[in-house]
This record gives sequence, C-alpha cells and structure tokens, in this order.
Amino acid sequence: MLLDARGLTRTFGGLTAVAGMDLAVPPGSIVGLIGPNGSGKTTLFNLVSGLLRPDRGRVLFKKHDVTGLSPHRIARMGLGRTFQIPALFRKMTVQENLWVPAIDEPWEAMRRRAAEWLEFFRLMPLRDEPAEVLSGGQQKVLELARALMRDPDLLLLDECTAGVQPAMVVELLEAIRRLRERGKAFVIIEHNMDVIQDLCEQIVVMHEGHAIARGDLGAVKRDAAVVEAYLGR
Amino acid sequence: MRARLLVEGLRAGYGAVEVLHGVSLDTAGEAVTVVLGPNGSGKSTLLKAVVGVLPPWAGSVRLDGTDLTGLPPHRIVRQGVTTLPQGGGIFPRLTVEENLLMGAYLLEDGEEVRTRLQEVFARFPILEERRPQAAGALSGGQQMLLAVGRALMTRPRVMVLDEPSAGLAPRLVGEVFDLIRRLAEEEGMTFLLVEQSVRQALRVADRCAVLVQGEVRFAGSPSALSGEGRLMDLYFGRRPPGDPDVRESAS
Repeated sequence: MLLDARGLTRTFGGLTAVAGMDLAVPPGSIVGLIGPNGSGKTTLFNLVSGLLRPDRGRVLFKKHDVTGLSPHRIARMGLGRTFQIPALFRKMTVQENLWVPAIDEPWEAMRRRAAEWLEFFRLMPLRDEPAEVLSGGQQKVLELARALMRDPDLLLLDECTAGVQPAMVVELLEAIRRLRERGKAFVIIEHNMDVIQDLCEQIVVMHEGHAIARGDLGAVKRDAAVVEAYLGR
Repeated sequence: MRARLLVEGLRAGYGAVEVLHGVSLDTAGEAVTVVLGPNGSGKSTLLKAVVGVLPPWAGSVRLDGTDLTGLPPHRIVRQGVTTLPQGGGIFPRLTVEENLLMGAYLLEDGEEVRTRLQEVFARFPILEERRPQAAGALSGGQQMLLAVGRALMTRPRVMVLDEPSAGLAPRLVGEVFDLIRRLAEEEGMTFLLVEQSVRQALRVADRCAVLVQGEVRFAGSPSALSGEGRLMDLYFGRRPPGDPDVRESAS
C-alpha cells in the first residue's frame, strides 16, 4: 500500500471528528471519499497530511511511519494536497506560487518544472498575474499544479470541483486521469457523484468519523448504513 | 386560499460561481413542500434566493400573482413570506418577549402587536411562562418554538425553513415536523422547507423536489419517489438526459 492509515482517531473537546478510521490507497489508484457534511473527511486529510496529530492510530506512507510528522516533512516524502478553499499566496504571481514548494531545489530545474506544469494546466498565459485575479476554478487548478511541484506519489484533493464551471470540471478530470497514467495516486473528497463515478476504483463512505461502506458506487448506495447516513433515521 | 409559491428558471450563485442552474419549483397549492438533496446541491442557496437574501441572476419567484423576484427581504416579508434560518436565529440575550416583538418590527399598530403576541402565547404557553427570561437560557426545543413564534408574529402566508430539525435532539425532530403539519393545516399556511432528515420530512410533505448539483432531478408527490432506492439513485446518479421527472418539474 502507498498509504495505509489505521485506527485514526481525533477529538476536539467533546466532539470525536474521526473515530477509528482506516484508509488504504494502492499506488496509482483513485479512491473517492464521500459522506454527509461533518462526517470527518477533511479532518482525515488533515491527520494524514500532518496538519493535525491523531490522538490514536498510525499513518504509514510508503511503509514509513509518518504519524505526527510535520506537514512539510510528509510533503517532501511525496504527499501533496489541496484545500477546499484554495490556500494560495494571493499577492504572488501564478508562477511564483509554483516555485514556493521547490524553492530549495536547483533554480533552473525548478523553473523548468514549473513551466511544464503551467503548460500542462494551460496556465502559461497567466503566469505573471497575481494569483488573486484568477477565477475560482483556475485557483483550484493552480493549487493542484503547486501540489505537483515536488512530484508527489499521492495527492489528497479536497472538493477540487466544487464551485468550478462545468467545462473546467471536464478539463480537471482529464488532467487527473493523465496524472494517474503517470503513476500518481489520489484520494478525492467530492460531492459531485458524476466525478466520483468517472474517476474512482474504490469509494469509501464516511459517517460520524469512520468508514461505513467501501466499494463501487452501485454497491455503496444500496448499503443500509449509507442510506441511513444520507436520509436520516 | 392557500398561497402558492412558484419559482421558475432560477439561476443564482456567489461571485462568478453559479450554484442554481435554472431551478423551477411549484408548491402547487399544497401545504408542505420539501426540498431534498445531498450536500452542496444548492438547497440553502435556493431558499436564500426565494426570500431575497441572495438576489437571483435570472428566473422568477412569484407568490400567487405577485412577482417577488429581486425584491429586498423586508419587502418579501411584507408580502407574507417569512423565513427561519438554520438554527432559528433567535437573539439569545434578549428576553423571550423581546424576541417575539422583533418579529413584529414591521407593524406600527401597538394594539395589533399585543393581539399577535397573545396569539403566539396561546399557541405556545411555555413561551408565556418564560416571557421575561433571556432566550439563550431556553432549552433547544423551546428556542425552536420561540423562533417559530417570532415568525408567526408576521402572520405569514408562507414559511420558508432551512433545516428546521438541524441540531435538535432526535426526540424533538419528530415534534418539529408535527408542528409544521399542524400549522399548515390550522393556519392554512404554505411551507417550503429544506431538510436532511429525509424520512421525517417526507412523512409530513405533500410535495417534494430533489435538488442535485443545482438542478431539480425530481419534482412531485413523495409517494412517486417509491421507496428509498429511488431517492439514493437520484442522490448518487448522474443526470439522465431527458429524464421524465425533470420534464415534469419544468412543465
């Protein structure tokens, strides 16, 4: 397994946001993470990427125990992520945003790689614009490009199509497919079921902090626990 | 006659992002219409556009013959459409009575305000008992009654509710829906509500609409949903081109 998270638990005061959650991601696969609001999906991403430390449980990434490591160390091991609301350097230009994660690398190679991703995502014409002038969809794409700058093996994408115009969603999906062909694995949190169905081999449904079902879309939507999580008691 | 809310081709969103892609909805003279749908499908946005908090980009909202499209919220309230935001939106530091009086801020006739206050107390005696207490000191269920009571001060013809059951103890969820049904029948009011407690909401609904990704994918009688498998298909399914249910909602 590329990622193997086991028994992750995290509480905030009296609220248990993630409760004994397991998540395994094989190399080069796309796992879809769905579930009602407040089910713990983003908190799980924060635990895996090191933004939060779990109260219990272990995160194995490429067979190394990365539990409780700081986010930049986990990122350098090859785990990239994006946020529900893009966390860009708003006043910096598009290409400067790409340079930031690789600023410690040889200058020429780093710039060349940034240019490749700008081409890949068709952001080249915007490279000297401040990030804040981009549309919502372009900002999401730029954040994904930035996450790719350290050549990660696994990307955690938090609602990367939310608020993105339909035509751009199609482009984003195509980009994710091409990245998978290059061997990259993804976990995507997504409310758009068309996206889930088009991309994912496996779907994990979270509710109240843990997985209540795993499988393909047809199977999980017939699962009694999933029906109850979505429709209420 | 029961007020009829008719929404046609509504488009709305935030910034450059369109959330509602031409939504049509008709309460059709029925008492309780429920809008269902998964997270992020645009349910709250739809309610905000109906009550004027979020100006629609296109389409129309009509109450019987009156065009409400683009009116500011207070003018929509004057037309008889009152809304209850998620969580009720009571003022926790004001007393129960003061909260109720806030609901009558559009009324200038003091005698009329007192009459309506008595009506609300008659319907919810617990509020009269708690009259001088800070609203924040009430239990969750009492706060919900207060929020409904405050809305009743405007004597609305239509009540628009955003997840009335959210945050309530499970025992109270059923009571809220019973109250909605009772108000709809006794006061002749029209209810438009958004809910995540699907089973409870469908129990009291006369009509329902399923909103997915900013589009209505089903509109009609709850019985036509024929079981929960159908509903999960709508929640999890892609949009079938020429789906008969979508056509029905557009007609």
